[in-house]
Amino acid sequence: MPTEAYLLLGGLLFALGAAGVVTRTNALSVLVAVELMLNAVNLTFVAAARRYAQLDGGVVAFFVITVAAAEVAVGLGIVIDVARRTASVDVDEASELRG
Amino acid sequence: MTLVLLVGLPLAGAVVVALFGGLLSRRANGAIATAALALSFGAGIALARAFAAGKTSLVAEVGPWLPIRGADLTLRIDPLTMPLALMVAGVSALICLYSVGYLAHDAGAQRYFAALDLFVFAMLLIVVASNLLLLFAGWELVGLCSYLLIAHWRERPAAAAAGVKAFVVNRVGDAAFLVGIFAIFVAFQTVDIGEVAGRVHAIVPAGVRRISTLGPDRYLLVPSALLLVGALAKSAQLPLHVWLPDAMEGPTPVSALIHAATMVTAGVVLLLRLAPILDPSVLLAAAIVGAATALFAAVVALAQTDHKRVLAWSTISQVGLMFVGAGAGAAFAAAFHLVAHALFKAALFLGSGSVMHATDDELDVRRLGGLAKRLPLTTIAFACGALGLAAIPPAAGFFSKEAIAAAVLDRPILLVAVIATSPLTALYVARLFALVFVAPAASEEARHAHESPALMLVPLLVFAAGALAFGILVASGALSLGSEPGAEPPLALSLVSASLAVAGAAAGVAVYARGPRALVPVRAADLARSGFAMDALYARSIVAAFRGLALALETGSERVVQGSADLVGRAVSGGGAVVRRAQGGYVRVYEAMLLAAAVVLLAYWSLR
Repeated sequence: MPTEAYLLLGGLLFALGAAGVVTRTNALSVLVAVELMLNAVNLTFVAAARRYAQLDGGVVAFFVITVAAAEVAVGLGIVIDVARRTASVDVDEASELRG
Repeated sequence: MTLVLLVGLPLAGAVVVALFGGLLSRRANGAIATAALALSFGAGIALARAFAAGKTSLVAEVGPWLPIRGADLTLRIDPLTMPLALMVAGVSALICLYSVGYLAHDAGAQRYFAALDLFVFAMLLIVVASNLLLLFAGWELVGLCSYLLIAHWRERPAAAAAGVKAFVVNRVGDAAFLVGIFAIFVAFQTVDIGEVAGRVHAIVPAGVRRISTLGPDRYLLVPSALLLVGALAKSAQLPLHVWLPDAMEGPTPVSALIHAATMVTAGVVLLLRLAPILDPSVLLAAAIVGAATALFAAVVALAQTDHKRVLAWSTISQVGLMFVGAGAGAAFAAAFHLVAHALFKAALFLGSGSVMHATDDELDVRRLGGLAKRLPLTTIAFACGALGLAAIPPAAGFFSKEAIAAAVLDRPILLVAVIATSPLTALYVARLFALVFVAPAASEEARHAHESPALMLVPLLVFAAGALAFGILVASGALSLGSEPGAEPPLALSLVSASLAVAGAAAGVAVYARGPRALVPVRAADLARSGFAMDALYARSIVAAFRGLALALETGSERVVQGSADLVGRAVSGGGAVVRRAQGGYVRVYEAMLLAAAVVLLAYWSLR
């Protein structure tokens, strides 16, 4: 399979994730969409590593997986706290920073 | 060296009292201050003996001061200033001694005695400074000390205001004086009085053309006029006399000091010392102003009801006579009257203070009376001073006034003014004496008065004796004043002025011996009492104008400063109102912005 196909799929997945982050109002769905964006980037890295026959891209992908785990932990923590305060997981409800 | 001691001892006294007076009692402070002045007087006596032995001038070079030609710390004393320096030191020492008794219960005694010694130092500096700048330093110190002492009871608003008024009115004269010094320096390139005097009649310096368009023989006209303005302010002459009556708010010994020794006579000293420099027409103007002031103040003094104010206006009047003498070129007459006036005016003021001490600070002559029986010694001393002021022979004032009248024999208008002042003076001082001491007692305080302590009576009696004897001593030649006496006054003049004075005094005692009475319409008396409303005139014109200007500047600057500060604040909050609309608080909007920014950046980088 040519590398272009991987890149195309990665870009598509990233765009889908970004659209999810902006349009979804459920905090859990937003987190899922973020996960989608991260893994689209991972796919791009791994494809590049295969194309140039070097390990660097793979290593970065492992880093991203680790960071994603931490991100989910923090994100879920915030979601639980917001849910305790507002009895909802709707991100539009948490708009107290309005100027 | 003795000359340095004469000037330096009062300064040393002031420093010691100011630094260490807090550790000592009031009485010890007074003793130190008095001792410094008495020792200074002793140094003066030693100097006078040197002059009697034939010296003509003494110079003490203390050190360099400013990098200007002539502006060194150099003192010079000559036969003209010698008696003045002696008078300043001697009179001040006695007044200081009197103050020890007068301020026995005053919490501010340390401040008082330090300022008093500094005052005497400043005045001695005016008398013996060898150059104009050093003289000006003394001149300014005199102004400062008068402010400190007049406002001694600073918690009283009237006293604080009087101190400020004295200071501000003197600023007018000081500014003119300073500009006059600059003008003289530009013309002569030196501030040494002797050097300037030596060059006046020699070549006209090149610098003169820069400051004068009046021609070479009149180039000193403007500087002289400026110096005269300085002298008028310090000596409380028309039209800058308004501060002196208010200065009565100070403690009475301070009034005695200011009037007799250390302040109002400074203008006369200045005229006497600078007479060789001053333009003849300015000297004539000084004599005319002096004559006008003498008459004007004598009329005002007639209407006063406050015994210290009678004396204050009498000082203005008498200093006017000294200006007549100095302006007419009669240095001897002016110096004679200066010293004689110091003696009798000190006796009168200390007597006045003794009356206040005895009657719980009663100032209104209409509420006094009958004190001759209660305060016999004060009465005798006051009477001696009154004889001197009224110029009734053989008191000192008679001879010195004669000398002044003799000096203006060839100027009829001045002569008439001087002679006309004479019966008026006798009348108001007799009225004062009759109301306070002879008339029936008019209040409980006057009925229960008690004589002052010996510490106050001794200086009082010394001054009284001086006021009586000094004139005879000088007129008979037993005591030299250093300068040559002028022509002997004609017998007719002496007879006329003596009889006018006696008539005035007799009329005063006859009319007022049985108590106060109104001889002129109340409105006229009120007008005269207020000094012909000149205070109100100044308040409405000059003071009001400056107030208005200050107020306008204050509101103007308020608008500019406050306005610009407000503008900054409004700009920030207005800008914030616009920008904060971007902060909707919705996480998704922020995310979209982040994404859009990333897209824009990527597009920029990839298309560059």
